[in-house]
Amino acid sequence: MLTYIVRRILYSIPVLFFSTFLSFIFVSYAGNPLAQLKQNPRFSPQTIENMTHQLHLDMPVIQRYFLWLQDVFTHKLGNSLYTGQALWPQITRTMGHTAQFIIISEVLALILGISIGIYSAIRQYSVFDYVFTSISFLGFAMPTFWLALLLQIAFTDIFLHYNIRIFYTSGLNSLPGGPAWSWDRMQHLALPIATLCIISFALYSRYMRASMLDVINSDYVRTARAKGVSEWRVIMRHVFRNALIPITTVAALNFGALLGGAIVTETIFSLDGIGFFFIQSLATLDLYAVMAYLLITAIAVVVFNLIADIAYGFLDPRIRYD
Amino acid sequence: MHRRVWFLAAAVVAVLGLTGSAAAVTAGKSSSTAQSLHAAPFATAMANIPRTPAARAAKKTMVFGLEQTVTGFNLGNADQNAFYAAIVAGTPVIRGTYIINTKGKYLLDMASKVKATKKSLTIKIKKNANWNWLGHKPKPVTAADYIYTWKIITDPTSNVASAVGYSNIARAKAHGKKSVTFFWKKGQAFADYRDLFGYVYPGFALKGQKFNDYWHNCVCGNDGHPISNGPFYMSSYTQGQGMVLKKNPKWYGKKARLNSIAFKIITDTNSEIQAMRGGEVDAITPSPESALSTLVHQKNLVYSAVPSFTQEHWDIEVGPGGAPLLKKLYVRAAIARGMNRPSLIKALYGGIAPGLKPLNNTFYEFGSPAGGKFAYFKKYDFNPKKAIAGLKSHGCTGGPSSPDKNNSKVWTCGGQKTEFHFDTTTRQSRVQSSQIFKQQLMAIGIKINVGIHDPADFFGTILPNANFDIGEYAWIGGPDPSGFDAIYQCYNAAKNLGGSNYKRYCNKKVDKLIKKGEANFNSRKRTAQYQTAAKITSNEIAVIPLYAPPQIFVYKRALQGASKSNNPTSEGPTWNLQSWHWGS
Repeated sequence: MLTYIVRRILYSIPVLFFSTFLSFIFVSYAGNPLAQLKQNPRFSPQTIENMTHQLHLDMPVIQRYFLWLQDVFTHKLGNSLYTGQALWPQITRTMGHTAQFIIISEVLALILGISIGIYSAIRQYSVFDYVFTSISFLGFAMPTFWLALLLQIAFTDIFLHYNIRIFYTSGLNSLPGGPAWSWDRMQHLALPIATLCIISFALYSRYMRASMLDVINSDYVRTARAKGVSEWRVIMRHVFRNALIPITTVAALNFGALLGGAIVTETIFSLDGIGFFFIQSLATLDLYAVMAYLLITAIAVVVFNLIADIAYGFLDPRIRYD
Repeated sequence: MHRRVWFLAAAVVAVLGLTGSAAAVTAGKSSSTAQSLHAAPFATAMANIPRTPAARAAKKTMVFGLEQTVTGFNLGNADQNAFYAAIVAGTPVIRGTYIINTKGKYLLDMASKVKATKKSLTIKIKKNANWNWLGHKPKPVTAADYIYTWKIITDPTSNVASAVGYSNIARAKAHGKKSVTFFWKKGQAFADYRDLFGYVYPGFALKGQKFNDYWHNCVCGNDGHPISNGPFYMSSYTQGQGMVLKKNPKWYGKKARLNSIAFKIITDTNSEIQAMRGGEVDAITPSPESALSTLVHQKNLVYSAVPSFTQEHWDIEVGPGGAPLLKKLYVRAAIARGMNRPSLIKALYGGIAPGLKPLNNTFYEFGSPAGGKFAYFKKYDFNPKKAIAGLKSHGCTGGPSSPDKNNSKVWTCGGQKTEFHFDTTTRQSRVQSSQIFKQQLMAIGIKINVGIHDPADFFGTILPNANFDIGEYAWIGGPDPSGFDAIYQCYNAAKNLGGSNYKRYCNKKVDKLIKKGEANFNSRKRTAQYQTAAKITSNEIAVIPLYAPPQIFVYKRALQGASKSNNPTSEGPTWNLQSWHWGS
């Protein structure tokens, strides 16, 4: 197993190198980040010259890529092209905010999705099954931004009609810099969490149901029933554990992808997360900030892929990695 | 297997819990340790500001929704020179010689007297103008601060947004602490002196700091403690979330009536609207979007829309990079007369800024100098019949005999078709206007082929290379017309003239008028010179001015003192923040 993990990590290095190189080239050729400063007719040409030189924009792209790579290791991802500020504190800050609401929404989605998936499979074709199948398809079909806007309008209208503040519609706290774990923070994160949870729940419940149905008709399950094992024990001990394997893989991959930032959700709810950071950086062509984001999310995807594989092998003793 | 599942589940929960806690704690730590220069912890600031509107009113505090993240608070720095930074760290915190009111009038602020001649600029600073640097005794604002400001802006290593005017100064002389004279370089007297020293840096408090590095996360001295010479100081700032201003008791003006203001960053316009409706914020200044119409008639809100100092316009390339036909005035006149500017404005902003009118002066955008007898561009108002008549009278053939919205015929003038490239950026209003004008011009036999470009490409390559036929974009202007000099001066790279004249318009008479106006300290004569230049550039259709996008300010009706706040200049709506207070 250890050999397998080391081998996977080593394989990831050229993948990361290649993906960052391509990203750097594409973003560099997207345009000149200093161009929009020229909208002020009095803008100082000397400043543009200074900044072009300071930001190495007068160097060939390949050379700039290796300067950036050097900064990644020697200066913790380097500085923002646009503001000159260190990127690492911004990445850790925004990643922390994203991780907070992603983790809560994923845990909720998993608990709900797995529970409902199990019951839907046990009570296949029942009213419960049909209702939650419909809800799942609705969850899949709903665009994230639409759901987010709908929730914002709904809870604002509730406040206007009943003067009851249930949840807030934007920001991390009522006021800048509030505590990370507080009732106020939870009231602000409730709607973004609900937005992501509904969509993830749809995914997990469908997977769980399908996986359960796949296992529930197996020979060994029939044997367990024939032996006189109670239905509860059959489901939880024999069916559920084996049906959990695909969900583990999907959840790990989904989490890795979401850690890259629920971009739409964060933008609509104005959450200071990594996805929002990425969008703002991309809009200003802040190359180094964009690269920092892409590198972090690429690593997250690789790591969670690896975790999914390891968990898969851990859960199913038939699978062994050399 | 049973144990493996539970073990794995427990491991996942533990890791997730640790990650979430550590990340959230790290996030808090990062914002406090990342920058050594920052203000007090936010928990303190937050504890003093209530969450509900009623409680905020009782505690004399409010929350302002800020639509953009702020990259810094050094208004002179190119990186941080943004409207939203000015709202927070401009007039509320750092004051200057003049302040510009909502009518574009310059009022003395930190100076008690200013005398400007062709030789020098003398500024007398108010006796009670002080710096409040927390943790230190108050220090007066002095001539040394003004001299420091001039030197740091003209330092070639400083990434300043603009050194125009400052670079015209040859030397400075302090007369005691409260008076300073700047001497112009020979032949470079700068008549737009009122735009100089709109903010003054506390040189003594910034020793050891580099211009490009300070005030990224605070408005503070070199020890990280807040500093201010305005009605408020910045007590705290959390990157990505917002900042809190507190009343400055040492300010020379009438003391602020609010104890504190929190600026909360809400970047999505729809979220801003919901936050305003739901009372999460007490005021916003959103960018103009049609969704804002939901706030226009809301009974507990006041909605204000005024034209900004931004000139949305068409540049028509008359240099070698553009179509030869565009060099002909009669073709440009036909284009101008084929465009129904009022209907475009109604389509774009009718729901959120009713009453917005087209711009009709190429140098002035606001107030009496822009309208009435100075509305020179009105002669080119929408008149498609006259447009067609003008083309016919110059021998053009093949076009429609009368305006026809289904027309497909294109004029041929002197062997060339009236078919041109039109380039603009991806901004939604421009994409819409390009389609509207395309139809209107096709109705009179002029075809435009629309090209939409990324702003970086448009401003970085297309415009500077003067490689376009017609381009739509906006210039950011101000009350003083000299801000547009570089747009109309004949392009001369060697003399650093006309650097923004991408359309390569050139009229020597206009150049002379601009040159005279730049150095004329008699405001009446100066205005006359610029108005003459405006008349010529309008007559010659150097540009087709479209409109000034509205500046919108929405606030709770109970918030008093904000009725005269919607300031379209660079001061922004917080220019009189000290007057705001909660009424009944």
